Amino acid sequence: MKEAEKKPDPKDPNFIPPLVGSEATRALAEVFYDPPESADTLYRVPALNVAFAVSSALLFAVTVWSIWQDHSRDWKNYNAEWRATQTDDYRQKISEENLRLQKEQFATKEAELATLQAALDSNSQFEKAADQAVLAETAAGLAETDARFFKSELDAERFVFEENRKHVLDGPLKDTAEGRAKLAAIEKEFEANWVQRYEDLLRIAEEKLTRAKELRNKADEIAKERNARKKEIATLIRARDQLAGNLRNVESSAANVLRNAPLIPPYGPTNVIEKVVLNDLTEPMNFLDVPRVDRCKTCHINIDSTDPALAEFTDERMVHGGRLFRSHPRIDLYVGSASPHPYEQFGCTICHYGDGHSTSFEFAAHTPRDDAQKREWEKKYHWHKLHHQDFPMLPMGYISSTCAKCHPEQDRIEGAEKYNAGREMAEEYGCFACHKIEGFEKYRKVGPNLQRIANKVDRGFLYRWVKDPHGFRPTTKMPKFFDLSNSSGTFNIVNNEGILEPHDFRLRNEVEALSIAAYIEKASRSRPVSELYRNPVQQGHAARGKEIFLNVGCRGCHSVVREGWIQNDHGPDLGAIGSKLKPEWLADWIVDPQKHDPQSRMPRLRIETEENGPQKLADLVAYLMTLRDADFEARPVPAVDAGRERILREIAFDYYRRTNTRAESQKWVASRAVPDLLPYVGEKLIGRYGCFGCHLGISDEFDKMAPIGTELSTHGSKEIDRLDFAKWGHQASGEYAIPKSRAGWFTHKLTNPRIFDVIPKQVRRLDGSRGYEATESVLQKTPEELLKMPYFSFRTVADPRDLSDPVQAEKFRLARAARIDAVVTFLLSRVDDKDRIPLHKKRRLNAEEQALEEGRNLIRYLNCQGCHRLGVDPQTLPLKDLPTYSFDVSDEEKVRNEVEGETWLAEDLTLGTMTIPAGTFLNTELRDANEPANEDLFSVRMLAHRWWEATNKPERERVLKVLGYQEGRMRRYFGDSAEARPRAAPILRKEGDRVHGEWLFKFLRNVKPLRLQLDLRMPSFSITPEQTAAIVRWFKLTAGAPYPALNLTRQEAETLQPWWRVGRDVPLPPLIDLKPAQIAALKKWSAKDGRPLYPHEEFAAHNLNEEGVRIAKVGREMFQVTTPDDKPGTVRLQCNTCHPAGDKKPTVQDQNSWGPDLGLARERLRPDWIERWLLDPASYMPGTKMPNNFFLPSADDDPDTPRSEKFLRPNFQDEIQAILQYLMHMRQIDAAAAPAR
Amino acid sequence: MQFFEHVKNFLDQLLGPTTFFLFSTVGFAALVLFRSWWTKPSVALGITIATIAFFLISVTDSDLAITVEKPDNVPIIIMLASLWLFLWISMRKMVVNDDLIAKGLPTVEARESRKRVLCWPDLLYQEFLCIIVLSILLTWWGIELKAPLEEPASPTKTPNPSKAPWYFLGLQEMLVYYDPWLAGVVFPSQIIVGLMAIPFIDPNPKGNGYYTFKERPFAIVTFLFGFVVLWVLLIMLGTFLRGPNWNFFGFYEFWDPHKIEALTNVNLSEYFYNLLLGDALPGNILLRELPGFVTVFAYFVVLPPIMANTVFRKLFLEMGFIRFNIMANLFLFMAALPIKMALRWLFNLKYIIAIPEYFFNI
Repeated sequence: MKEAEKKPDPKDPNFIPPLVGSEATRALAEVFYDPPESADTLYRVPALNVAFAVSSALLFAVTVWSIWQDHSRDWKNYNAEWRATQTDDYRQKISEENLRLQKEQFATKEAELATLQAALDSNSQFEKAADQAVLAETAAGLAETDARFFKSELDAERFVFEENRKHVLDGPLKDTAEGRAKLAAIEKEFEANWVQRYEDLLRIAEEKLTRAKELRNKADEIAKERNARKKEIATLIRARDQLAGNLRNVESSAANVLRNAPLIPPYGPTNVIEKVVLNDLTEPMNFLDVPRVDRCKTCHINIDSTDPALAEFTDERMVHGGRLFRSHPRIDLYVGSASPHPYEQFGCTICHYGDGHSTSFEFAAHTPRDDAQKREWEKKYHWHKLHHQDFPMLPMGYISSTCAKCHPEQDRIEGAEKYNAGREMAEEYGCFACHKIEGFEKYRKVGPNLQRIANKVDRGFLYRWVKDPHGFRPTTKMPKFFDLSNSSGTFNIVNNEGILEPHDFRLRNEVEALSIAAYIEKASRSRPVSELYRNPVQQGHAARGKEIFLNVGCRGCHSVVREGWIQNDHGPDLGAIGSKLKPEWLADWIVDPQKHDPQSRMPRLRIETEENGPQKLADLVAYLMTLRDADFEARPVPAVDAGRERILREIAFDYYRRTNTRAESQKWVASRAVPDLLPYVGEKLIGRYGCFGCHLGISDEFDKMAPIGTELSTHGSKEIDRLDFAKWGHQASGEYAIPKSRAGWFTHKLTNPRIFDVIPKQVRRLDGSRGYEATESVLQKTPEELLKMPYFSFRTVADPRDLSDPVQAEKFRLARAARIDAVVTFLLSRVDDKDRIPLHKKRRLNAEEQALEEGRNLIRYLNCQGCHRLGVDPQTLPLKDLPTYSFDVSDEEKVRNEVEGETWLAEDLTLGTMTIPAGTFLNTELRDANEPANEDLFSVRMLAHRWWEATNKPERERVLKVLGYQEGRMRRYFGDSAEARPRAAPILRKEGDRVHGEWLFKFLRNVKPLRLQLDLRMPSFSITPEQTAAIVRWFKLTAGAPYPALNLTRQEAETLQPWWRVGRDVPLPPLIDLKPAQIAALKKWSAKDGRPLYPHEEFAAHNLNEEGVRIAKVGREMFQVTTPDDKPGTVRLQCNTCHPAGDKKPTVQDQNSWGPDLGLARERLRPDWIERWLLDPASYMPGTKMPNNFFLPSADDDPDTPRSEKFLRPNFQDEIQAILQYLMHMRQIDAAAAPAR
Repeated sequence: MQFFEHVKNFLDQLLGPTTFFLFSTVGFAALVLFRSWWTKPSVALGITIATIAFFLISVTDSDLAITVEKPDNVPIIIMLASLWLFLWISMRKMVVNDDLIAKGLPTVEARESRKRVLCWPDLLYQEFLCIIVLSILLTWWGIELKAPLEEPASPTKTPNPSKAPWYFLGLQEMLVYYDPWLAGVVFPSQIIVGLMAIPFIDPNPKGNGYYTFKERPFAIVTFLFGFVVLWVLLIMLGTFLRGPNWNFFGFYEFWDPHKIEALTNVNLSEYFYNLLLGDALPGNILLRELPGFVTVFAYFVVLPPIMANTVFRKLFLEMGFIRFNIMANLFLFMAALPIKMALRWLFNLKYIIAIPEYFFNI
């Protein structure tokens, strides 16, 4: 204070003027500064001491803080929490049990180890054997050396011997007896002393060698065993050490607490970071591919635990409600060590993405599944989107997309249902038509061939259709190009001068559609009418045509939505087909679709070739032409008036200007008339919109063009910054108007493909959250720059028709969103990461699986399941979708339940000691098990429950794998009555087991009706012999039948190699007339290959002998209908009542009761199948009209008698054999019997 | 709120590269001219408080907060604050000393040097305290702000914007106006050579050991312009105002990678032939670039003698021929940057000499 009072004197040289002169700062300075004249130091030391004390304390505090920061990690807390819960009631059980088990295991391992070690120590066999072997080898070596030495002496001696002989032969004793005797003596002596001795030596050496080898082998064997033992010991030691480690970590001891304390890590904490290093699943990091390191298990501690108690673990007191400590869902399929995707080999991020290195919730890049979860996370965990994470974790909704990375060869991946649905849609809607997608090159173009379009439709229809395809057929796969959110109404665009001007897009759309229609019609290379099918019948009757339409099988592929026939959408909805087609074209098309479009999937019905065929065809066409849509027909086709002409000329000018100067273009456009300009503009627009992506045949040039869209092969890994969010990106609120993710972008693009041309506005939703919606303001671009991706309705025939009703509209909106979600899942699966996955980690299909895949694709492509029930794809059904079955209903309903709800198992189920094999009908076959007659036991639901309980399945994993569900919808058309059902197409379950492959091949190549009485007919498909063979192979494989089922001798088979390439009619070798030599060859071949003869081959091998003929004749009698002449006791099965057999017509009049033609049985049916079928048809095909002929009509209900003894006729086996023999040799037996009549 | 939005928008509008540089230069001139006013503690404190308040209000803006809170950029903010502090200390001392010198009194430093100071506690204790306080600060910083790691480097995906380390942002800014061989090689070498040459070309013995402005105004103004405006403020510009695609963004603007800026620039030769002569460009490169060659020649060769005879006459006499020419050369190199900036902004001038055929552009 004294200082302050003193007046500062600048003239005083000791006075130092302060930089800051105020009173306050001077007072502050006095705390630290000594007055200059009063002290030795410049500063006041006590004040500095205080500062030092305070700052030291602070330094200590931040040091402690930093240690705490380092120690207090989420994962350590989770770890500790999990450990702590082990004292809880719930965990106690598990942990104590575990501890006890582990201790037991530990003791066992120790004991095993000791035993093994002792065994090994006491084992001196090896040394002994090895010594012996060495001795023997030495002896053998010595003997061999002896022999070698002797050999050289022998060679030397041989010279002497030859010389001696020469002396005798050439010398004076030549030709004398003495000479001969001497010669003999010399030879004998040489033979005895030398040759013989040498041979002895050799023999000895060889014996010794053999002995040595024997001993050596013995020693080797012992060594091998010893090494195996050693390895076993090493494994045991490893296991023991691991157990000991586990034991130490599980125990909650003071040592463990100390080990986990801060700053103690060097002593080996028990809560450590759990990581898995995947050397073969790399990820790119700074220009290198480095092994993937996943540390997810650090927090998800029990993720790979197979303990069922952990599958549903919940404890609301714990972090994340305890869900963090659950095991992975479907532990049998994922993550579990016994699953196909074990944690040690696959880790986590290869499927889930995210940052595997990270051990914090935030930086592991968890992604919320929806908005609500996002808000929750933000509140709870301060979650925010990571900026630099290109691949944050996939939201669970899209997780199936990553399956495709390792399963590239499968078009359909079991379990990845959403991905499968998306992939199928990409294929059906033809995403690949405009966007190249790797692996989709094999598919046909999705639209019809337009080469002869003018034959099919007129220009008015073309215009209306191009302008608004959904207006004509809401379910069409053709997308809409016009009147979308960036092209309806009048708004400003930038013209080619770069100047803004208003542009009427309604007029422009009309002009564009007119132009496209004009060009397509002009380019059409139509056939003259004379080349089309000429129906001799002039007049068709629509009413009769309707009957034909309903019954002939059209509805197996087509729907007529407005009539309510909406089961199938393989082909287009025919609701207004009369408004579209020209009748003469329609007739020609039905006769031969491939004539118009070689790629068409529509099969031929052969209607015109039948009796009264032309009339039927005329009726059918007449009926189809009555299906009209008057509103659509009434839509005007605008004339090119002044306003439209101006726009037309503008568009023409824009296109012409690209390659010409302004003056030239103006001149050119002015000099052209409207009819010339329309096709010119149309051609350019087809190039712009890429119509040729889906339609072949517009013109030869277009057929050669590359698709117009962005390639999608790696779109799922496209950098998000390269997706143009336009105005939907960053908003004033600081967020993106739509989620800044690939999925968000794809979803919005597919929902409204022109959305990024439109400006968003913020809206408040009903639930109070904020969101963004499209306005009607469009970005100012040139027309050419406007987005051009068309709008796909993604509507199916089953969707509500009337969208003006808000409830229906909302229903459809949700359905459409779900479909788009599936497509997005598919898009996300197209990643470049797949190239980084090594071959051995990919799922490779073996030959059989490839054949199944190929066949399944073909069957879907041809829509076999539209009429038949096949069981193409195994499906996993949740409980609510499982078919119900009850005994307590009317008979009729019961049968219907069986037919319509029939479902068979896709894989073996084991219930206690009972194994239910795959392929078992869930409704009928199980009922027949020798179980107490409690009906609940046999319902599918009950069965599933029991199975789940028995296999300890947690609730969320309860699904049953079944086949055949939801197929064959065509069957429903024929009504529910017992009479009507046989008119439907047959069930083809295990068809490969039923029929010969050759027959099936031949049948598919050249269809001849089997059930003559049916209106429904099997059409002729346009497929190659290779495709046919693939279908046959598929049937054989799914039925588990041997394939190729060659009924040929090897010689014959060789001449047919490869037999399916021969062509339409593969000659069937005569089965019955096999010559004895052929039979012998067959047997020999079978014996040589070690392949058992197939049953039918065996049958053929037992050619008809006298006994066979006798049996077959009995069968013939049984086949016939009972006659009044029959002696009492004659057994007749009366097959002929219902079954035609060659020229024998059935006796029953009601054609609905007719069965298949048994004249074909020999070449068609497999004998072993016939045996099984005759025994119990209902279990093979529920609801069949075929009666069981061998069941006794009534039997006492004694529960102790086995079913087969109880119900079956005593001689059933003989009777079956008789029928079988007759069916196989019908022609021969009939021919032999004929003269007798 | 609405009002603040308007203010923010207005400031964003104001902050083009042109205006930013213009304001910086004008501000720098004011800093020099009004030094005796603003270095008064109360005024300086007022400016400081106002700036801090402005800054605090500004960071409530989410877009600015993204940039400011980047752990990378925190030291830059600290650097700006410390620059202000040290600038104030030195200028304040200059003002005080100039005042004393004008009155014929000894300078502050002369007075201080009469007093003896003990090593302990006057020096060591303070240093020790500094160590502790800085340790606290660094530890706290290390805990609170995590290492500013970015995404892994990828040859197919470069960051946008791709920025140099913060201390080189001034150099990177030069790249906007000059070709790499100039902005990346010649100018940096000139800066180093120039800094090394300062003791040899500055014959003025005044200001040795004490702060003064009046006794060496040219040296101080030139250095401060080069350091504060052309180096530090360009670093700030590069940090806070250069966004994706190296586009210019206002403080409160979102760094939208899709933002489009008008960037059409014209070469001197095109101005000369097309606009002035109404003629097409000559095919001969040398002839075409003749105006450029003449301009550059005039700038480096003709200008120094003119300077020596006019504005720098006194300086020329003091320094002598060689020194002056070296100084003039270095000075002109330094001035080339603001000149080129002004030309670019005012006339959309791209290159003075443009020979892209041989990568020779100035």
